[in-house]
Amino acid sequence: MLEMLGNVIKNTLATPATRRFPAVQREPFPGTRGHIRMDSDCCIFCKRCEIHCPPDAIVVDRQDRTWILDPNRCIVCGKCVEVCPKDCITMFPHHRAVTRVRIREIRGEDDGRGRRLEPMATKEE
Amino acid sequence: MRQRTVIPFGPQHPVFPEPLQLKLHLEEERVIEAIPVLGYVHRGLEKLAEQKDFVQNVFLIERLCGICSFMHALCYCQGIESLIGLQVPDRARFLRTIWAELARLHSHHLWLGLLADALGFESLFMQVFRNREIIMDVIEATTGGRMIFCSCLIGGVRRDIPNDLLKETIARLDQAEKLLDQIAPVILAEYTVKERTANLGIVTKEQARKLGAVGPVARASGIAMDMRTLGYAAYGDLDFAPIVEEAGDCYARIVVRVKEMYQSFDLIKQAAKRMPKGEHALPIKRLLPDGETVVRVEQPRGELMYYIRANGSKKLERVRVRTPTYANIPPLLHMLTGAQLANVAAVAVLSIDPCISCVER
Repeated sequence: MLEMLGNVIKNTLATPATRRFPAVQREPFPGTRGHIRMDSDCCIFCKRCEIHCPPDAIVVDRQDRTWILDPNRCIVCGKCVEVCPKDCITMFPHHRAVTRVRIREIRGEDDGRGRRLEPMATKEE
Repeated sequence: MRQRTVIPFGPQHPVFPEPLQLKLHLEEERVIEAIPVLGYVHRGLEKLAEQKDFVQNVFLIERLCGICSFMHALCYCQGIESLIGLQVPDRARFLRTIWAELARLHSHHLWLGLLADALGFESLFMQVFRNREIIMDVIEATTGGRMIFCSCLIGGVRRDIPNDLLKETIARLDQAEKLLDQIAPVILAEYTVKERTANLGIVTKEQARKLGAVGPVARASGIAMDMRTLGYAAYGDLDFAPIVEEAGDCYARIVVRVKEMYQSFDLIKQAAKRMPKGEHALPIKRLLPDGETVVRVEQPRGELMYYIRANGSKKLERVRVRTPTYANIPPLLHMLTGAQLANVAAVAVLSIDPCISCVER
């Protein structure tokens, strides 16, 4: 009986084990694989990410200067982040909502000396 | 002659997390014969593994199963490493052991929760899942993923656990172990659980051997069979012995798994204590696998076997996966014969801890 009383007091005073979800959001840990993003400013369109990507989620076009990611295919393994020679693909810990939209990174022309003639653009299609 | 009824049990059934169908031939309430129907989640991953290159395959193989994804990657990587003749660094071996045991812990917690739920013991289910969440957090903090670890790599592991994070991990696992101390006696000593599970679905030692049982099913029947004793990863450097029970019934299988949870906590602590310094991965540039090999590791559900045949090119000729649930289906059918219909779901089927996506690949 006394044992039970202890439990009753403990359970009355204890806070719930779960979070009050919409108000309190769970923050992912720093190293979590959430989603990848590419900074097209430094991309040299070498295609290494495309070659190494296990589910073929990345398509790079040298002529069009585009880098397309299909988030629906991407398994967020982080292989592209590892192989990128310019370190322009970054892993972020937050998850991106499920989407059918493909992310296209387009880099504008430059004059060959690093000066940008057109701004870079991120398109979702 | 009594009338026979055939009940299709599954593929959608509240106790199954995954689709398995059992055609139960009943005489009144007793099961006379059970016929398994497999193939609901066949994805052709073995064929796909022949089309990707052998490094990409690690990511594919990991997605064979959600619960024991690390074990699949570990087994595959060990196979490829033996084919290209690579010795993994010591620190990687110990890290692999820690992650393998974390995978076992969260798998056994999941199973215990599902069993409690199937028995109608809902509060225990919630307690177990609260405890499992601590382990999932540890996994996420150390590997970056909750279910798919993505941390095993041919030649080592993908990321290191720094020493301060390792200390934090051990502190959190101590907390989980303390909570398990409160839960474990409930499931082991509670008489309702005992009444439902003791003397049910008995597989004797001879039958287990004959039917080819593996893992906790075999160990609950008195066969000391644990692939970890082969000494892969860092298991050769750690002190442990397979947990064996003699009774061979469903209750013995519960006891084996609960004791294995404690064993996993102990193994992780041992590995953390003896963790050597040094690098955690070796480069595999310009090394290609050639020849064929068979690798075995101990999954949470039992012995996992990989057969890999390579021909010196980037693509493998054949990858064959034999998962523990596949080996445990004949003992399951044996257990079901003669069982009451009410016991089929809660007790007999869950006591082998079925993992159907593993079986069908």
